[in-house]
Amino acid sequence: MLSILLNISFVFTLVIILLILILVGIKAVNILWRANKKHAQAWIAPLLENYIANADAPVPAALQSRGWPLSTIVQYSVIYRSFGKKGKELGRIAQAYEALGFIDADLKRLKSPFWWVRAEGARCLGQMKSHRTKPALLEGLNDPVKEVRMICAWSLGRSGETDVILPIMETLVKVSGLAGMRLSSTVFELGKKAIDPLVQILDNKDPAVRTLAIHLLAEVGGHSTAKHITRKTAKDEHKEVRIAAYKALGTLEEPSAETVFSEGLKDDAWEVRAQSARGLGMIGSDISSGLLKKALEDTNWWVRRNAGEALTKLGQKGKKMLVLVQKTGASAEARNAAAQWMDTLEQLG
Amino acid sequence: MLISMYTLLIFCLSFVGLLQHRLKEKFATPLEIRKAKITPPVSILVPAHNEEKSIAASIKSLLNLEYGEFEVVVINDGSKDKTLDVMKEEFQLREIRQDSNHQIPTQKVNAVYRSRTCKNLIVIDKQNGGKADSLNTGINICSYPLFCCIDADSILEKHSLLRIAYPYMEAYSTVVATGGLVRALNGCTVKDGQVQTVKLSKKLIVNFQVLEYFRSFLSGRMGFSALNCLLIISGAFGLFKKQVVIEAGGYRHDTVGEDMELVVRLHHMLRKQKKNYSIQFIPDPVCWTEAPEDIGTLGRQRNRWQRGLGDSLLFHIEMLGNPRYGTVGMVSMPYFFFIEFISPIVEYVGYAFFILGIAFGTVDVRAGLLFFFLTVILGVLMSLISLLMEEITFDRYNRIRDLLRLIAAAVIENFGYRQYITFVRTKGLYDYIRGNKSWGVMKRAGIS
Repeated sequence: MLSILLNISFVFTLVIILLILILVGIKAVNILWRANKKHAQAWIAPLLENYIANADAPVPAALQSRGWPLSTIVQYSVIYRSFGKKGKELGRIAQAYEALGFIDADLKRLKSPFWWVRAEGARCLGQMKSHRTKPALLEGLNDPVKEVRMICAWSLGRSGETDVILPIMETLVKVSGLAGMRLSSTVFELGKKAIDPLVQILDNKDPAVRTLAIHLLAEVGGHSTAKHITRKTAKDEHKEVRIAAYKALGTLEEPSAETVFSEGLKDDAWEVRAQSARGLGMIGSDISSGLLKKALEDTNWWVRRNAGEALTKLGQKGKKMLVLVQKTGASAEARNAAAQWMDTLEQLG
Repeated sequence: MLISMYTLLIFCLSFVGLLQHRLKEKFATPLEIRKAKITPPVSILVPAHNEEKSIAASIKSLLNLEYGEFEVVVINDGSKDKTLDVMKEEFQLREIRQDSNHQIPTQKVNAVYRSRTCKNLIVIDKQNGGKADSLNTGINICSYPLFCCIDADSILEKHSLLRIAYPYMEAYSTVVATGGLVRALNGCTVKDGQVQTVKLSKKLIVNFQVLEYFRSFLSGRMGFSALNCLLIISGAFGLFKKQVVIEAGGYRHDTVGEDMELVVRLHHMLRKQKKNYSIQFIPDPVCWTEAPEDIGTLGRQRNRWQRGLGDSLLFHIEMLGNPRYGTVGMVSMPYFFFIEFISPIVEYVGYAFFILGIAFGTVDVRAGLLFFFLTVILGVLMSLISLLMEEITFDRYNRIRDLLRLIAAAVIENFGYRQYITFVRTKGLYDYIRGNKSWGVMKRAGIS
């Protein structure tokens, strides 16, 4: 018994010593890596800047054919330099990236057995807006790992080609509606070019895809898309799609949607009523104050909240309605809500 | 030893979960989440009772969070010091009327204030009713569908809310609660309500707690979260779906462990209803909080935690070992019951057995010492594994000096500190049986 305990203790002690060595080793490697990176970036940065500034300059020889870890430091220095850059400047950086052989390296990474390596490869390609890698990225949309699909979709979105919109959206919706919205924001980069394909997608058979298309249209298209979005508020449309359409019309602050919102206030779904109340406030038309007064007496708290907030945006008429509900509201909840928004109104000055 | 082995298994699970999370979060950076403009609106609830020293700094830190739409709701729970006055002066509060959704009964609200300078700051002044009552008041009055509870003496990192809300963006319909990582603030420098430099405290007692936080959060909760049987979301930092919490009846007043009890109750309710849901632990949104610096406060805190644990487990004892409740009944409830709740007694019985055995000559002195040595080694091993997880994934204490201090603390804590904690937990167990429901006085230095 004693010898067994002794042996176990001995083994565990060895494990502890090993762990301590690993811990100190990792810390030392981290510190050295940071120092090395800082040192390398100090000479890489001026070379890169010089290359970007002179359109005819060749890629600096000092940056080429470097072994690891310098090649990684060079690659990520180029990537970081491209953040927030557009147009010619990004084009020039992408040129350097291609000339240094990183595009081919990233394409190789897309075939890695490790999902995080594939995702990172796709991300770098997207950051550089590489057009020639489109087929590989489209293939990546079918990757078994969600994260890789999302990053491929993001990278394709950055490419600026309209034919990728539908495959991107279908992929993202399969992942999750919200993740889809998040990453499809890159479709914004397409700007007005994206409107026609998105309008077509409004008739897609998947309600999640239609919902996503509405959100994107509202962000990208502006008022010109209102008539298409209004079509999606029809009673026979899927509930989530209708909610999204009402919300989008509110975000667009579309004056012509006043009748639609008025109808929406009578809807059975409280989400639609709440979005309609919000929308009327966004339009700021004082003709709607009577309807909002009614919404302020709604049984649902969210509808009351949005109606109250909307009334604060309608100037004197809104204030009049708030006072009226505060005094003669049908329920205590309505009177309280009106009182609260009166206070807010006073505070807003 | 058995306890240590079981814990080691949970550690392994956590390790895999942590690495996976770290890799995944690389591809959903806070900047991307922020840019998407689809963060669900959040109400941050801050219960405050006698927090005059730290309340202003805490609120400033919260108002500076990087997030889409959010409001900060501070609930002054009948403070006897100048908590309310400090807020009135600092944020130019003005009394307003508020239409609230009174769905959970609470103590009387004296007044509701809104700040003139920060439109998204609301302060509720209410009669004293405890932390649970304050949170329930906040739930009734707050505007948004998600609420985040945090302690008034805590500081959130700028991107913490984005991180903790991310699971809701991915799967809003199924996620009901998410919890973040809590770290010890002691030793760090704070500027404008944000942690500027991360350093270890010079006090050994704080460093012991830093290690405990690593063990509990990185090594324990991550593993339970992977199995969807996480039983604790720290009261210092958690994000909940308001409607589900209201359906469950809000926070309970009759326990000192209201944060854990709520999470256990959510599991109980949702598993009974056979709902598809998840409660997740996210290891990178960080909440910095002050760890006790004196032995008395630490003892009272652990005593309270032990009593809270007792309530949470015994209120829902039906789930213990019950396969109907899946991993909650079969993995986390047994873990918390046998390893966290009654283990202090087991540990003391073990010590007594050996001492008496040696005294009566039935146990070999060498075997006794060796056994003690082995438990120490296992304790050190678990701390070092947690430390390794921290190093590989977050590496927040990046000075080598801090690492060496933590390694030293991992060894030293086994001689005195661990026995003291076992003692206060046993005392907590005794107080629990006696029905003690007090919080005890917590001494805080305050965030400057």
